[in-house]
Amino acid sequence: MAASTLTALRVLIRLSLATELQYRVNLLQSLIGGAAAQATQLLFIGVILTSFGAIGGWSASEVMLLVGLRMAAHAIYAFFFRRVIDNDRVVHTGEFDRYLLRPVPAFLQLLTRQFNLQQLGDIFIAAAVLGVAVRNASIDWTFGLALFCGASVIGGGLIEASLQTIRAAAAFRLANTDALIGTIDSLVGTYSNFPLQIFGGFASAFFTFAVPLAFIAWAPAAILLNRSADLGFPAEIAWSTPAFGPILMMLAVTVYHLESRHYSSPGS
Amino acid sequence: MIVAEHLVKQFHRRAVPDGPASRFRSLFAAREAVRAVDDISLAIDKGEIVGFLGPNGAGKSTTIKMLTGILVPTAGRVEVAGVVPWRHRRRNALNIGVVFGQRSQLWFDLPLRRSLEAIRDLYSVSAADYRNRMSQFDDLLDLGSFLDTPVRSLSLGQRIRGDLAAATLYRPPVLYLDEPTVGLDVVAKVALRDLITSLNVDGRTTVMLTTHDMDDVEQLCQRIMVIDGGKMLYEGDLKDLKRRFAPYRDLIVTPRSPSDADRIDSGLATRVSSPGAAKVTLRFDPQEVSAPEVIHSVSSQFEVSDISILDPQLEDVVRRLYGGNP
Amino acid sequence: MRAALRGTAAMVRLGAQSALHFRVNVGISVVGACLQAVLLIVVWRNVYANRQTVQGVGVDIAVQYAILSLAVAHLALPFRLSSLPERVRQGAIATDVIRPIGVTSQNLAHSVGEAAAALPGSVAVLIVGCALDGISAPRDLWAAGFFVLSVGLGLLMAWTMNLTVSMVAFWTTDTRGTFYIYRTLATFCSGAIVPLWFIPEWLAHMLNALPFRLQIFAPLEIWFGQVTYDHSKQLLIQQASWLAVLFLLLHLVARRALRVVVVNGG
Repeated sequence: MAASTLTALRVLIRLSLATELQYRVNLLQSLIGGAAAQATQLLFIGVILTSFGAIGGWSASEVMLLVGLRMAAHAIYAFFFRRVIDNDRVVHTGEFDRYLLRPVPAFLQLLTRQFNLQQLGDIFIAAAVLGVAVRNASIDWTFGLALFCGASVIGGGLIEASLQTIRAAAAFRLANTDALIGTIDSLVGTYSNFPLQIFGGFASAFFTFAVPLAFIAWAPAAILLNRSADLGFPAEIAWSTPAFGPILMMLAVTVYHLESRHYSSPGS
Repeated sequence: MIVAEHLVKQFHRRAVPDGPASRFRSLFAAREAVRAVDDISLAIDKGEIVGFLGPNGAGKSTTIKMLTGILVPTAGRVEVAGVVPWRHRRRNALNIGVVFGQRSQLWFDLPLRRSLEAIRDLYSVSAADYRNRMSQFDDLLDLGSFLDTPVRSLSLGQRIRGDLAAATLYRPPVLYLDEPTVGLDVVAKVALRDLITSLNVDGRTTVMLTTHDMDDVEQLCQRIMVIDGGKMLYEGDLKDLKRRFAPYRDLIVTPRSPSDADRIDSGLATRVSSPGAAKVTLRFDPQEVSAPEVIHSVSSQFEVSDISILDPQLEDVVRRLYGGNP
Repeated sequence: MRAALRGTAAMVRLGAQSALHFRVNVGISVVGACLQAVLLIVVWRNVYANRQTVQGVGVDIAVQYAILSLAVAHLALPFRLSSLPERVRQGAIATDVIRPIGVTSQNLAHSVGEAAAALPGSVAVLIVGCALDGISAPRDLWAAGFFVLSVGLGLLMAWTMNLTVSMVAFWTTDTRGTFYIYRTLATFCSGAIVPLWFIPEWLAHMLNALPFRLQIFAPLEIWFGQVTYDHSKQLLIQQASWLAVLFLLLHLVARRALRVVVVNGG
């Protein structure tokens, strides 16, 4: 079964790459546009940091590390899982029919419906920002810490992917998920760049348990910067950040497949 | 091969109330359940070609989608080639081929060839089988002439032929065709029917066909099922259906001298053509009187230049069936 | 004239109905907007921590700015930027051409109606803001009056631009990328997240040349009484002129777009 799924994955990726290369102009446009959007986000952080200097007791270079981790995690999500945002369209046009008729997991077919070449731009920019941020922050690097850093980035990407997957699954029952997408995008986009201790009580709990933004970048950043006292929960939990992503993602994919049973194919 | 018992599919729809501020009130209106398929049972044996008929909105597509595993039934049991389609989706996928006339299953932006190669790999078709089947498709469907055209640029007829090739490339034992001939020209329809027949004869492929084209049904199907309002209206042999719902045959008579036209009659049959027509149509019940008897009675009284017998049109039969007045 | 007005009103109504039809969506947008309002208030109060003013802006002003700009931005940049791409895909645009009012004004009226679905969210944000003690009265009635006018003009500018951007749907089937980029740029440049007071001067010069800041930042400047009457009037005139330019641009883009439809349909 695993072998056949791998074959399927290879076939699907080959197809999506071929599709993508059909539209070269589109590709160039989205590469430039993506870079512009990233630059805007950096500007936003930059403006806040130059005006306020420090946020929640974290210096500008410390916040930049947080931002770097967050961008790297986002790049992981964007490169591998970005297409989950297409789910509402796939469901409402009936393209999902095709996914159900092929001997390949539906979720895999969704992810590979287009190859995310333009997200390569995200990866380069995120790597650059993280690289600069790591150099400027004072971190006592050990092998274990480096491993933790890398695993956290992947885990963070999976957390964002799992949130988007669950919201994608809502499209099987809701006719319109625009507001849900907008809310999640603006929550993740805006607030995961802040050191969450500034929120205090209620909002911190919200971001730790309800929408676990805390583990996308804030908790790993606190570990790397030796600031786990700011977390408001035991450092052991922060250390286990890399495990949360895969667990949440597995849950999300299960929810996705369960919800897909409510799919009501258009035109029936 | 295909078994369904007491199949039900229920959808929810918001009720729109009448009266003032109805739009606003509809925001809070309760949703009502609509049964698209209401207790349908059917069984199709291996190697059968079954026509699945019904007026628009009868629940044909919904039923097909439950049989293929696209929709999960609200209630009832489905089994196709020993597999419950929606539960073991991937195992089921290997057993079935599906063509929707309205919606392509192919990769829209890529040349048709790329889609077929992908299907080959996804369904583990060997290189030799692939070559053989492609050359068969080329013979029957003239696929070679548009293999390298992107699917989005194909004409409707080419696209359907491409879809049919994709659905049968891996020789699934079960084939579902949902209105495959809609909008096709005569040549394309014939090509499609030829391929279906050859798959059915050579490979014992079980075929379930929904269509509004009665020629498709008459030329392909041994058995038909008719549904309406989500319920099974009729199920059985094509000949039986005609016998039951159109219990007559027509004798068309052309008299040698046109002046006879208005006088031709037979005590055994009823005249149904209008006065003044050059050809006279006499309708009779084959249960009560045989065709030779009617022919004899006419030709013994008048000089006739041509005489022929017409079976009832399936089109008429089905119209009467939908109308509910057998 | 009367017929055109009636037709336009019908399009506005149609837009509102189609947007309000998705009631779960409306509900989520209200909840989402409230959540954001709460979070923004908390963020600004905590970012300020013990500082009195930053670059001459006190914490109360910053919080109030955040609430008001969220309420306006919720209308100006709704979660569903436009239903145009959907309607292009369904081929509904071809039938727009045969209706008795101009295609541009038809679609603009439709987007205005759609924005109505965002109104509950905006109102909810204001209620949350008042409940959390984040809003105070404007300096005087003049400021309030000018503010309302200016918000109206700003929204019309925003909706015209949204529709213009949505026209890419005629050329490409996937509009998400374009929408995402436009939304990010518009949010930042209009001052919807960060008040433009905090922007360094070189950047402020760039933003002054763009129409975005007139959509959200300018009305709020008037509300806070930070500009003189004369300057307020000047801002309104600027808005009106930009609106004319943007409408012309929309018209030009729409004409080219319709040509694309005709070519594809032929």
